[in-house]
Amino acid sequence: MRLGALASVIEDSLQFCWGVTVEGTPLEGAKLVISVLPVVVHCSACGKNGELESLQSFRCPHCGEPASDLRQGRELEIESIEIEDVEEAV
Amino acid sequence: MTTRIVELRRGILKKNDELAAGLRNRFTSAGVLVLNLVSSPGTGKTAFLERTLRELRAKGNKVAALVGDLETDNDARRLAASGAPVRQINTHGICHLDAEMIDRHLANWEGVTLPALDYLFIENVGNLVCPSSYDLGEKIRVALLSVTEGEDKPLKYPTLFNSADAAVITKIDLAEPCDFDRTRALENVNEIRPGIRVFETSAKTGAGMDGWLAYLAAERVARIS
Repeated sequence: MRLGALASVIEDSLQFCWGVTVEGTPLEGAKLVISVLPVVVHCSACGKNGELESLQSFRCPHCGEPASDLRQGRELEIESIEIEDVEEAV
Repeated sequence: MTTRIVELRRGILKKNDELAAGLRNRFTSAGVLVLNLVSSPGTGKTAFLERTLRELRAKGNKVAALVGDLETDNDARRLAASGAPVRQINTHGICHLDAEMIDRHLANWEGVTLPALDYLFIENVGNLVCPSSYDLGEKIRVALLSVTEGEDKPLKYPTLFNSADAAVITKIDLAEPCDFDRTRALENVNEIRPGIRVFETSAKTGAGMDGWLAYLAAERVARIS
């Protein structure tokens, strides 16, 4: 999964819920792999993209100008699923 | 045993986003400006909206409101006092509105059709977290905070304030007794959402309402045409 820092979803909580949800189902033991994506802003002043270190200040990390053009950080998506096909016993 | 990887790249809120995009198209072609009002419980969304509806109607605009709440229809009854058509959406425990709820409550709304409206307001459930993830098809998302809540609200809820198109500070008639630090509040809003329009208002005294109404009129012309 890809999880943006502004998605309002917490990685730990998601992992906790995942464990509870799959328990006792054919998915038990399946691993949920989450990549957390930092917020990336585009700066109209210096023209560069930059990652925010915190959500307390939306400023360009290169030049310090306020930056409101968001390029990454709201993702909440399933990227891929890895499936192991078990051969049917004959 | 073989292993295969299925690439999905599928947004978990895709269904909502698609519904919201459809609503946005309908709103635009009907020529109605739609706003989504979001704040904590107790900020004064209902009082602010009631005054907004009343003043817009007095200027000859056709307005309506959808109002979300967990259980009661108290807010709908308060808003109806403005004379505007109001429809309650009870979420029964869900802490936000979603596009499907908006779609469903727009259907069979007695006496209300989108092309007959100038403005449609959606008052979200009082919550500063989950509503930030749910697009309702609105043109303008308005984040409200009151002087009684403290100047650091935008810093505490950056995901919501960063997603807003306009901010409204309510209850400014109480600013002095609350020791409200106006400069810091405005700095904080701008730190989270640089360049956002901020309106300082009081639904009780009517302070700041003129600027807000002028903004609505200008946005309606700019965004609908």
